Amino acid sequence: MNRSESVSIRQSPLQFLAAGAVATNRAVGLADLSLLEKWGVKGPGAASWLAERGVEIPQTIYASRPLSEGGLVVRVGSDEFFLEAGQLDQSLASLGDSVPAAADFTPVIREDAALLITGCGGLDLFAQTCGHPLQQSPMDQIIFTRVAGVSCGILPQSSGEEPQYRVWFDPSYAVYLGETLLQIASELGEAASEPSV
Amino acid sequence: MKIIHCPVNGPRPLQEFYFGGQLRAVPTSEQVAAMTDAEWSDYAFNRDGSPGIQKEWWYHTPSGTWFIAERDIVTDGFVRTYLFDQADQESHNDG
Repeated sequence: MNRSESVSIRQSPLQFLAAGAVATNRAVGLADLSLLEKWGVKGPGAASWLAERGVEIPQTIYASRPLSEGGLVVRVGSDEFFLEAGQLDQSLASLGDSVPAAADFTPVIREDAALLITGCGGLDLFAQTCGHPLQQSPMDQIIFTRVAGVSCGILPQSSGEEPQYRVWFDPSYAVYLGETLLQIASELGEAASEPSV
Repeated sequence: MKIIHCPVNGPRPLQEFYFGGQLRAVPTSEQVAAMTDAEWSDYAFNRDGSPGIQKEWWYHTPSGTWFIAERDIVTDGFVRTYLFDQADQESHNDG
């Protein structure tokens, strides 16, 4: 089975979001981004290898940078990176095939569930579910914290007047966390959901 | 809400942490082989509960960070936290 076939049959653990949400005033929007291609790259040579592939390397731990095709890269350790492709980005599809045999780093496919939280009620949603004060967090810097008891990475991003939040977490918690956030978002002024990508 | 200062991620609520037990010297396999049953039982089952500052392992679950905390087990106040190999560097005092 080649790579494109394996992607085409993958299903999002959050696919219920598209059918279960009610789109009204968009106080909070939940979008399922779980099917975006994701990789982790770890090892002493990871940064230089990614740089050779044209990836702009975040200089500080937990910082992020956009990828040229719309994705992003986050430095999650001194020698550890997390990459996510953009919606129409195929640049990461063959990442694992281009690793030299004697490389001192390892690329690993990541299957994290991923959410995009948008809207003016985003902070209210986190205020009810997360102990970390996200309103004080800098943009484009990942935060590892808990949301509704689930360990998550949260990346605040600038988006017009209101920030948006990218959330990654273990897919085994996808149904629980997705339903919990959708319920609270609905109570905050009805939720909006975008189709899975 | 009780706040613990993770040396990597900063101040976070207690709910994000897992207690990993006292920091203790782990005997080598040769030392274990030379132990009597009483000595092994003492190592396996007994802990020092005397009042004062205790060094402990704590784990920040969302980021996967293990670190050392010095905690006053009388007041349950965290005195300082630091990574295992950075005990001699500046650390955080959460009082």
